[in-house]
Amino acid sequence: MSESTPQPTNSVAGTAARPFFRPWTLLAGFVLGLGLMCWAGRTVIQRDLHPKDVRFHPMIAPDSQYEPTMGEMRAFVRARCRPDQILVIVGGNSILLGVGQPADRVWTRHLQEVLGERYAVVNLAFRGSSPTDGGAFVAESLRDEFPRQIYIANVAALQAADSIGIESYRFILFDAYYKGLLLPWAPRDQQLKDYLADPAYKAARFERRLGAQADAVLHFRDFWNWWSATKFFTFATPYQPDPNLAYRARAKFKDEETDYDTLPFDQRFSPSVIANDTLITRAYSANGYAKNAQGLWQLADASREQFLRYAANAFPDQLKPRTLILISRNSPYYTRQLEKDLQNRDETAIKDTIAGFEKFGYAAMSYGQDFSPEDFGDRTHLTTAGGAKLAETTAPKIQALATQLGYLK
Amino acid sequence: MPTALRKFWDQLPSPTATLLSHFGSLAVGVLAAFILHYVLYRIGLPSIPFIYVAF
Amino acid sequence: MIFTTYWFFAFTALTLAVYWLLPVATLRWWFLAAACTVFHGHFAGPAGMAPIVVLMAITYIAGFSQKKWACLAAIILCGLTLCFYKYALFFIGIAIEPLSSGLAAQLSDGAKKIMPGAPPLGISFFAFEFVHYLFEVRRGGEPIRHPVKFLLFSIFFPSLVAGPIKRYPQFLAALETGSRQILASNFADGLRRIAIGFAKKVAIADNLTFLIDHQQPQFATLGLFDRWVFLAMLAFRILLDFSGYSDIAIGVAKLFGVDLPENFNWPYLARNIQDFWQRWHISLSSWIRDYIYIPLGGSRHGPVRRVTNGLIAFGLCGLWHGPAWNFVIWGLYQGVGLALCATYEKIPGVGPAISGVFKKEPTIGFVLTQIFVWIGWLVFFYPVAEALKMARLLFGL
Repeated sequence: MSESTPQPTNSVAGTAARPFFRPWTLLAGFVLGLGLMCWAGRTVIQRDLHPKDVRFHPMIAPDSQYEPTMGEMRAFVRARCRPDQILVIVGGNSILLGVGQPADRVWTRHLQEVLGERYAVVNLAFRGSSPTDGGAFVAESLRDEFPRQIYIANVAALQAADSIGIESYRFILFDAYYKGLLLPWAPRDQQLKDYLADPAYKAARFERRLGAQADAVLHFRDFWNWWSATKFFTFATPYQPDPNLAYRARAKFKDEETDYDTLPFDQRFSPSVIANDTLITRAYSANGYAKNAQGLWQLADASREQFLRYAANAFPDQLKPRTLILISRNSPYYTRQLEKDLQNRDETAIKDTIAGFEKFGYAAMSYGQDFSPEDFGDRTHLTTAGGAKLAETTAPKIQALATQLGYLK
Repeated sequence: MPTALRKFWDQLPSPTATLLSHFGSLAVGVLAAFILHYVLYRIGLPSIPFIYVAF
Repeated sequence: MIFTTYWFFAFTALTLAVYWLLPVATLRWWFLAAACTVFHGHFAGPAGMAPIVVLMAITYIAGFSQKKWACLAAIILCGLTLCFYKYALFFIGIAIEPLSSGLAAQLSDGAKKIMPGAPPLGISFFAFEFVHYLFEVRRGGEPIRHPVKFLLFSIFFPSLVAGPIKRYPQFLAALETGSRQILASNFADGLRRIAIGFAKKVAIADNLTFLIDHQQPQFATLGLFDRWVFLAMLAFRILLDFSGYSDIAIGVAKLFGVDLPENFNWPYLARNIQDFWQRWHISLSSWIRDYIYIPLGGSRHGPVRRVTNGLIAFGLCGLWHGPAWNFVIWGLYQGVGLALCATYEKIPGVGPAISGVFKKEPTIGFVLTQIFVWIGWLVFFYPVAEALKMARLLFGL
C-alpha cells in the first residue's frame, strides 16, 4: 500500500502544501485505539459497578435499555461472595427479584440474615425472566471459581423453561456463550442452533450473533456499560425521558422499587385487576389436566412428556443437583375463592412439578401454602412480610441442599 | 482548512509540523477507534426498552 | 439503518481485506461487483432485487445502443417504476379516491399484491442515477460498455441506500483511479470520515431524535425560548443525521479508493436560499436542476417560466422525499423561497432597498435564511396543520 496521493501545490507560496494527517500514523492510532478500548473493557468490568445495589433494578436492567454484561454480573457476585462462602445465586423473575419490596427490606437480605455468614446470597433475578436466564448463566460461568454454589429460580406449576432462556434476556446467553463461559450442553447447543437457523428470524439473529462474537473480542459492551454506569449514560430512553436525568450515570440511580407495604391491603386489588387475575388463577393448572377413572386429577401423557423434556434439558446435568426450583403459588386472596376441585388440581400440578424436577436431580419445593393474603401485594408478588416468610421457608432447604452436596464439610 | 490556519501551518518549522502532524494523526486515529467502539456497543442495544408486564 | 448493523461492519471489513489483496484492478472490479450484489441481496431480498436487476439490464442495453428513442423509453420506464413502487398508493389516494372509493380500494389491493412490503431498497437513488445516465448518453455522452463497471455504478453498496446520487463519468474515473492503487491515505481518510459520520449520527442525532419526540407533544406548553430550541434541535437533527449518513457512505467508498460527490457543505452557514440549496443535499439539488429544472426551460424563458419551473422542480423534489402531501408542500415552500430569492431585487421600490440592507448587513440575510429553512422543517416532519400551528406558536401567535 502506498503512502498517499501527490500533494496539491500551495499557490500562495508556490511550494507543495503540507499535509496535516499522516496516513500510517492515523492507522496506527486506530489500531492502538481499538486495542486500548478492548483492554479497557476487559479491565474496567472487573470491578463492581453497582456497589450500593442489592439487585439489578430497572435503571440497571433492560427496562431502561441497560443490558448488564456477564463480566459486570460476575463482578457483582465476586464483590458479594468471599471464596470461603457458599454462593447462593437467586435467579428467576420479578417474584424473586422482590418487586414490591424496597431494597433495604428485599427478601434476599432476610435470607442472608437467616443463612448467616457461611453463605453469600446474591440477587440476580430479572423482571419477566425465565428460570434459565440471567443469574443461571452467571452461576454456571462461576462454577469453577465458586464450586460451592446453589442456584435458585422460580416457576409456576409445570412451567416450561427453555435452556436458552427467553428472548428479552437472550443477550445474556449470547454474551456468556460466545465468551466461552458455559458448559457444553447438547440440548442447549442444539436449541441455540435451531434458534439461529429459524428462517423467519435468521437475519436478525445472525446479526445478534455477530455482535456477540465481535464483543467477545472487542469488549465494547463491557467498556460502555462501565462508562454508562460510572460516567454518564449516552442516550435517553423512554424509561427515563427527563432530559435532566436521562444522561446521569446509572450507578447514581437508587433502587426505587414500589413498597407494597405502603399500599393498604384493600387498595391492592382493583376490580379490573381482580377480574383479570381471577381468570389467570383459575387457569393456573388448567393445561393438560383431566380427571381419571378414580376421579383424581391426572396430567395427560403428552403434557407430562413435554414438561419432563423441558426439565431434563433446562440445565446441564452437572448443575441440576445444585439447582433449587421454587414453585410459586398465587395469592390466597384468589386461591381461596377457587372451588375445592380446582384447588386440588393446583396441588396436584405443584406435586407433579416437584416430582418432575426431582426426577432429574433438581431440588424442588413450593412456597406460599401457609402464606396469608397480606403477604402478597398482588396475585404473585410478595410484600416484605411475605418475602421474609419466603426466606424462612427456603433457608432450611438451602442448608439441607448444601449438606447434601458436601459444601459444609 | 481556513486560510489563516493554513498559512500558520505552512509557516511552522518543519520538525514542529512533523511532530504535530504525527501526534494529531495518532490522536485522530485513537478517537476514530473510540467512536467506532461506541457505535458497536450502541447498535447492539435494542431500539426500545424491555417493557415489563406483570402477569 | 443499514450502516448501523454488525453485518455491515463485518461485510465491509471482509470485502476490503479481499479487495486489497487482489493484485489487479480488473479483479477488484469483479470482486466488488459480486460483493455489491451480495450486499443488495442481503438487505433487499429477491423481491427487492428484481426491480433493480430488470431496470439495470434495460438501462444498460438502452445506453449501449445509444439510440435516443431507447434511452427516452428507458427514462420513462425508470420514472414509471419509481412512481409505481413509491407513489402508486399515494396517487390512487389523491386521484382515484375522490372519484370512486370502490375503484380506489380495488386498485390499491391490486397494487399491494404486486408490490413488496416496502419499496425496493434504494429505488429513489438508483432510479435517479439511471435517468441521469440515460439522459447523458442520449445527449451524446459515452455509455458504460463494461457490464461490471455498469453494475458497480448501479449498486455500489456505500451509496446504494441513501446516496449521494452519483454521476457516472466522475464515478468511473474515481473507480478506475482508486482501484489501480491501494493507498494508505484513502484508508485513513475514509476511516476519519466514517468516524465523523457515526459521531454525528449515533452520538448526536439519535439523542436529538429522542428529545424531539419527547418534547413535540408538549410543544404548545413550552416557553417561547424553548420552542425555538426545539426548532434548532429539529434542524440540527436532520442535518447531522443525513450528513452523518453521507459521511459514512463517502468514507466507506473512500476505503475502496472511490470518491463519491460531497452532499453537504455547511448548509446552516448559507446566506440565502440559493446558497442553501448549493450546500444542502447537493447531489439531489444538482440532479433536480440538471434533469428537471433545466429541461423544463430553466430561467431561459423569462421570470414567470423561471418561477414556474422552479416550483415544479422543487415540488417534485419534495415528493421525492416521500409519498405524502407535507413533503410536496415543503418542496413548494422551498420553491417559493428560491423564487423570491431570485427575483426580490426586481420588485419595484422595495427590492433594491432590501438588497442594499442585505449587502450592508449580511447577518440579516443569514438569519432570515435560517429561519426560513428551519421553519420549513416543521412541514417536512409534521402534518401540515400541526406544522402551521407550531410555526404560529414560534412567534407567540
